[in-house]
Amino acid sequence: MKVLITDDSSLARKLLLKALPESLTDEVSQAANGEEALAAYEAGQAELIFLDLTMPVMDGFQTLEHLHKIEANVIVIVVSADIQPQARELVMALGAAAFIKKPISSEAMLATLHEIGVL
Amino acid sequence: MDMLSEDQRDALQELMNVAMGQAADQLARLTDTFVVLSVPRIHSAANLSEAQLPAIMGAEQMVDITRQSFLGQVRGEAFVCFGSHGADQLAELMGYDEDNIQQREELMLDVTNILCGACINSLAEQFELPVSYGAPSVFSRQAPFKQAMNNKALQSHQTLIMEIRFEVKACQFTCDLLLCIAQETVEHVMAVIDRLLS
Repeated sequence: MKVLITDDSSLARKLLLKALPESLTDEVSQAANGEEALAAYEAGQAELIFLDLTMPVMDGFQTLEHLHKIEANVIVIVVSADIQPQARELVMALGAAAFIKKPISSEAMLATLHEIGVL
Repeated sequence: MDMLSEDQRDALQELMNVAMGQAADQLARLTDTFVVLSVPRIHSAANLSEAQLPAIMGAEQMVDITRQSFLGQVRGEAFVCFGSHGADQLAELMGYDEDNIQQREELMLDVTNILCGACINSLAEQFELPVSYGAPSVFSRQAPFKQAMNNKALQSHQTLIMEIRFEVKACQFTCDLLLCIAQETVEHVMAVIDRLLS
């Protein structure tokens, strides 16, 4: 499965990569904002997107809106520190498959991937 | 002066990101609204009046500023900067009497306590360094930011400054939280960051 990690923080991307189960680490690419993520999706580099919400250039909400609008064939898991209930509701309404709060742990990652049927 | 490498800045920004998420959640619960967050900024400066804080410094508008100190292996001060009508808008949203100055100040201090508490607690937890707090107080009333920060009491601080903006679109309320870490304790923060990066 082609995995795309989208976060403006290189540390956050590194921590997320570490939390990924080995079976998902064969084809991983990275993006630093929503614009780069959409470009990667258009280029066929993403079947599963991990998406941060607070990013410069294009934030996670805008990215999700765009993916929702074009009916993108991709699974999006939002990984964010924005733990407001409204943020979670909004991203789920925009088609996210799941929400994982930061800081991410391997346990939360595994539980979520099982819950949405990726593993 | 820049005491941070690019990697260190990135890591600290990510820790701040987690902390501001906690603070925004608390503010959202208090006001029953959605709080819009932006990417936190980090500045290195001899003191707050010298820091490049474009969002606040660029404006000549009058602001109210509150202050809360924190102590421990990481020590410093947090300032919350309320725009000229910020506290009024918040008071209106919360059903307070806008003309009651005492109530308005109490609300600013409550918000300061909530934002600083959540942010600093989260950072301290991530740093694995316990902190304690002083009581929040009003630092300055209705003065431009730069003028307020020229206070002599701050001149000796060598600080790492973290800037977070909280925005409640429902009532056009904006406030800026500035977390200033005293130079003599910055090394503890850097040690945690370097550990994270290794």
